[in-house]
Amino acid sequence: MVANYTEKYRPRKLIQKILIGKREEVLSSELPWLCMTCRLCQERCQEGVSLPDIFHAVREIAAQENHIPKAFTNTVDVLLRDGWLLKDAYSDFIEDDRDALGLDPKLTWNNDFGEKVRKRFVEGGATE
Amino acid sequence: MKEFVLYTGCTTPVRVPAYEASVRAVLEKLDVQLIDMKDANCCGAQYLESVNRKAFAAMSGRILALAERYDRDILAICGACSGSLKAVKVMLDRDRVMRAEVNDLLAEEGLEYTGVTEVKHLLQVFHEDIGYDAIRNAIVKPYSPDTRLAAHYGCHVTRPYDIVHVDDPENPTIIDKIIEIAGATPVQYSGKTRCCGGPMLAMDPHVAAKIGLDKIRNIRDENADGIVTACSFCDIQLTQVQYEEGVDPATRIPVLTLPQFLGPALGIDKNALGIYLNKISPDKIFAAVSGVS
Amino acid sequence: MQAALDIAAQGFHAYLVEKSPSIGGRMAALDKTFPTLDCSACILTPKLSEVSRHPNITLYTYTDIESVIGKEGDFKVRIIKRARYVDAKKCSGCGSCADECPVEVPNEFDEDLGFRKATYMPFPQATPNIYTIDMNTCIRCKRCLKACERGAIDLDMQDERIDLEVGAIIIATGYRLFDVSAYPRLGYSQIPDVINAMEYERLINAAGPTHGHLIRLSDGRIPQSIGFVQCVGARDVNKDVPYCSRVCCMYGIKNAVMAKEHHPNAEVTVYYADIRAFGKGFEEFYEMARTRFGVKFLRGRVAEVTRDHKTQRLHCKVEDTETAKPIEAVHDLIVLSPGIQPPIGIEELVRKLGITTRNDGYVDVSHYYFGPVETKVPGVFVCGCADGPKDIPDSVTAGSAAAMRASIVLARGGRKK
Repeated sequence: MVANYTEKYRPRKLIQKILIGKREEVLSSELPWLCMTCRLCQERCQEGVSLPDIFHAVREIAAQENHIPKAFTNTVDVLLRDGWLLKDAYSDFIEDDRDALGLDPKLTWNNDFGEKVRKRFVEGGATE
Repeated sequence: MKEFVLYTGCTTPVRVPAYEASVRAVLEKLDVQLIDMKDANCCGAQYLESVNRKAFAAMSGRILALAERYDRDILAICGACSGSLKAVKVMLDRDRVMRAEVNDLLAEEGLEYTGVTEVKHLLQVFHEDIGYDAIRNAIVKPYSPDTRLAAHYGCHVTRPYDIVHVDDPENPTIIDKIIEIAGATPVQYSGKTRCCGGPMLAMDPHVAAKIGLDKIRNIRDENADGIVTACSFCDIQLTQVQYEEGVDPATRIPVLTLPQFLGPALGIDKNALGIYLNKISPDKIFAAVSGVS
Repeated sequence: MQAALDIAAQGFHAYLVEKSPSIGGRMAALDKTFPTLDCSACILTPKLSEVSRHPNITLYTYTDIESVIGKEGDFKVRIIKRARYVDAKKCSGCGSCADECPVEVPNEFDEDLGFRKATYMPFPQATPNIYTIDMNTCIRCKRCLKACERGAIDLDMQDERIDLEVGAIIIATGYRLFDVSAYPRLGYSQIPDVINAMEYERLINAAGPTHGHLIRLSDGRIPQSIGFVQCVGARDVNKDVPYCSRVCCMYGIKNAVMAKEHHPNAEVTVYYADIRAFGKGFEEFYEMARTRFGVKFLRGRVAEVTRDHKTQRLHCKVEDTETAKPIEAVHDLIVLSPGIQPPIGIEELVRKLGITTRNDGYVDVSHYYFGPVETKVPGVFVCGCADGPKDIPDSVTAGSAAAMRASIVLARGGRKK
């Protein structure tokens, strides 16, 4: 889908670059990060290829070599630090909204596991 | 009487609490009990998933293991969470080595992933556990067939079929069926199964907006009065995108989550469903429903 | 048919059993054949005649196989001659019954685009040239009975079981077209102007439902722009048809050329994955399509076909893989080229004969290289599309090959049939 809306992204071309071994170019570019993972291509591929899964693997390799777009690094940092994404965004107004709806304004998110995951799986890799 | 442990995900409680509230209200009316999952964490969709596979499996894996402690299947109401949890479940079921590594970390809390929990998205619960007949019997204030509504399923809800098993990915019908049962008219539009553009916001908001607006345009071409969604992100994106430059405020199409749509037809008070929190007012949709305050 | 003729020519006797009311198969429905652009019916009908008049061939049409026992050289086959409610000896094919018949139903021969009566002849050169009454739709008003001057109608006719004793069996049951409604994204069965290749053949055929006028089914307008979509239901692992269907590239090009013949000013584009032009004269035919007829070829598999409400035209989303540009092409008519599949009813036939099929559903042959027309059961042979996609020359070749192998069995002695 993304390819229909922007000139810079062509999944087929990206796959070809990978196949002919343009490793540095692919890993340092933003191209593998432009896939939306909408999975329309995966659903329709007549050869049974899953492009989102391929690009996920490419992204992981890129991450190990420290090529991650800022947006992803920032989000992952927050996520592993807090255990969930929107702690900073959870304002009083929203608490009131929840209360008015009869929902518990106290959100019981776990705060430790993210750090454990970081130490075990991420350290020595990407988000440092 | 079915019971599920509810996994809301990070976004829903903060950005669309009305979705959470209406899910609770509607499911209670339809005889489904929900247990809150305490001490949960983010599923790691999209961002963590792209950067580190094992970390992603650990985060989602913990949620699956927590559900085992509750001894219930998981109800995921956000599309991205549903997709992640189901994908990780398949991953952990098939990859013994990864499962061992994740379980090793989980063991520190006394948790273990054994694979007994099923993950269901809201649409599955409506379709498989509640059933269309039960919904039909519970309708007390049907909509008028003049109300035309476009269903938006969302990518992670329906694809890839062999992992999520929710609905036919090329021609999904669950939301349309529920719209019909509630008395309104479901509208088919070009590009029904296309993405809302949400995941693109991180990398290129401009493209994300174009994708979202195209979808809105296709829906407007069919003269729909509203859009019914089944994923928090889609709901946010399809609403937000109509506030972009160049969109005439008068032409904005209201966006409702599925339980917010179904609720009034079941006789649930609109305020309990948080309708007043919806950014684009869906009042004219409800005007057609008899006697709803 | 070829197999039967070859066997009969040697002095052996052949029983030709066909389940539909007439022999001729798919070829009778085609308009022109590739790569010569011969008129299909013109080259086929002499063969139909030959078969029906040959002293050594007994033709059983509208007949099914009920059971088979025995072994090579000594088979007993029980066939059921279905009641056609018309006496073959008396019917002259005059058609008075059809004129009187009040029941109109979709015509399967015309791919349900046109109509036929409950009493019908599938096509003008049907062999045998007699009528058949479809009891499922007949209302027994008996007007045909009164109309027939030769008293050929017998509404109380019963199915007839006949036992045949033969030395060899040849399977030539043809193929089935892939059902393209399995691709909702291509719009077939939702958008009337998206048709499949067989429906297209019937439209351009002068004996077809529109008398050979190639028009849009939605509004009858002449299409100014036509798109042909190749590889639909072939080379697709998701739909369990991973194999290449062999004939569609060529018939797609042939159809595109015919579109230009019917409407020289129309813009015609073929959307392909590869162009497989492997046979005699095929590559030249492809060249001719491009240079002489001006057919456009775009390399890219079509992703989606949608209809624009305001213009009523069709939008085709495809990536031009030679320029890496996703485009949305606009056409008035889209023709999907379905792949071909094993014929309907093959599983049952396979069971009755005790032979085997491959994973893709086609009849399995005894040896890929040296036994291409023999099944794993001695004495049972296969030809045509029943063991794999083939075009007409290859099918005929296989027919003769099967006849030859079968004749060896017959020549060894025992039954001469």
